[in-house]
Amino acid sequence: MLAGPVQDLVEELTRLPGIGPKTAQRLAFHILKVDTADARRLAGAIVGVKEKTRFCARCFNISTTELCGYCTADRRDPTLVCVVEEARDIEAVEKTGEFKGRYHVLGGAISPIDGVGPDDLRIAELLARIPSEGIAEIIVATNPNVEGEATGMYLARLISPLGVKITRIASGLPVGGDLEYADEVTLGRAFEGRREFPH
Amino acid sequence: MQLRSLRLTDFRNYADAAVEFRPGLNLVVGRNGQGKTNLLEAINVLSGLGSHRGAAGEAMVRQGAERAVLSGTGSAGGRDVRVDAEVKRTGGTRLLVNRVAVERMSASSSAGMLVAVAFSPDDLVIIKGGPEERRRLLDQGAARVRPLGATERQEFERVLRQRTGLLKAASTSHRALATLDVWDESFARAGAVVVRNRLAVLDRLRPEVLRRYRSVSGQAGEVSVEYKASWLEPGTASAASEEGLRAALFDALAKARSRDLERGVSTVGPQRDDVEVLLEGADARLFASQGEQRTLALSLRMAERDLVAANRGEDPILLLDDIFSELDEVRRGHLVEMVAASGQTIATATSGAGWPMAVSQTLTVEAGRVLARE
Repeated sequence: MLAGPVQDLVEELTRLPGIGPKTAQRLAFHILKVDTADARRLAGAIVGVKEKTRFCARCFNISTTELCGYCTADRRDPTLVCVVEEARDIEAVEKTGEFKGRYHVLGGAISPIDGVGPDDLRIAELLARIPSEGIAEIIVATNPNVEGEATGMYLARLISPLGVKITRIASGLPVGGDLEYADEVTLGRAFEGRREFPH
Repeated sequence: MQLRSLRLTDFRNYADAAVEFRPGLNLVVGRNGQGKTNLLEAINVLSGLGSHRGAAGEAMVRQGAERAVLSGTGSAGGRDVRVDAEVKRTGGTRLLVNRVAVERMSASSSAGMLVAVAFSPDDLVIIKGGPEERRRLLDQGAARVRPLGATERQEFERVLRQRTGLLKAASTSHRALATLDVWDESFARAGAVVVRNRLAVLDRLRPEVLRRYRSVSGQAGEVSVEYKASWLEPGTASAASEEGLRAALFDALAKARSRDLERGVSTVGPQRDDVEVLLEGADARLFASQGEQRTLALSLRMAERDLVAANRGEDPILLLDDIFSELDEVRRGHLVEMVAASGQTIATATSGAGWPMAVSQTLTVEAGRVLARE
């Protein structure tokens, strides 16, 4: 039987995603071994992330200030908005370096079995941004699964009548790969989303 | 196509067992309840179809274990193949072919899968049972011909669950309704793909069923299999394009909407469709004799085998689950003929006596252990 405080730590760690009892125990014993200063820094970082961050008032990205860095950057095109499910998806899009507009974080996708409807997502907030920021195009970058597609279709139904261009990111093949090695689902989607060569 | 070795860990009553198989007929004998059928079930899981008995993951994992692990080696499409499956107690099976997850597999590598077709006395339910048995025959057929078929069906199941979840929520909150149009569109799209796959399988099964039935029954009877969907005009199914199916399904959902909302379930769509097996133009479920029904069930399975063989260009592995005890002399003779002409068969029986053909090896199963015997 582990000493009380160690047991407490193991239990807390087990509640984290992707961490089972064995990993939790390994982590707990590691923390037991490190300097008190290191342990304080870890604890401080955990508390800090809760106390010092909030949602960006405009796009609902994680931010330390009223508006996040993407919303306040001068160089970014305010008429172009990329809609994602979660704040972590922004980082994935940013890594591409292809997108120079602003973001909007929905906070999930429509999923009736999980009790998530349009009103549980930040859809009304997105609609409110269209006139106030003069948005010209909305790019839907929700996940390419059943729920993400349904959310995209729902947004298209709401936004198209407003005269704003709404697009869906393409599903397709990895660059530099061979067609022969592409999985069937991805290849099938790539055909569906084919486009004409520019004239 | 051949299975050379099979390893089972925490699968049903097998804690840890390894079995070697030979080309030709492998006879698995043992008293009842020792694990003969479980062995066949494991092979069926490795061929990507789950339990041939329709069992859930929960039932296939050994008591006290969290997951069952199966691993098979063999050859398919002229190449060595290794298939691994993990069946979770919580449901869901992960399948790896040559260490690549099936849903991530390319079209060319899926040709290297092991495919098994199982014959069991329970096959009679294809004729006598509810529509879900016949839908399963088609959906499994679609998955056998093209692994993507299984993924496409799962996607439909997911949309169906979401739409049903919405219908249930709509009874208490009206605002949930706002997304029903979107789910109808997803439903029509995913459903049309499933039905297109089923129709393609049916078109290929039809001539084989007729040929097999005439051969087994020794009579020139007229046999046909027809898709039956409340949302399709009778007789138009086989000519419908995927777009046509999608439009018809979308219309039907619109017409059924008020009823669906009232009952809180999706009352039309592929999840309610059926396949009619017709003997001399009459529904075999209602009008065929017990003997004719058995012959039809056997013919359907044989036709499934033929479909896989034509698709893969080689014989699938045949799994015979204690089937001989149920068949009369004539039908037994036809099955023997099929087995003799096949590359590999794994058959279970309570005793090894009286087999009318050459046996490559006999395996004895006792309480979850397998012993080989010449």
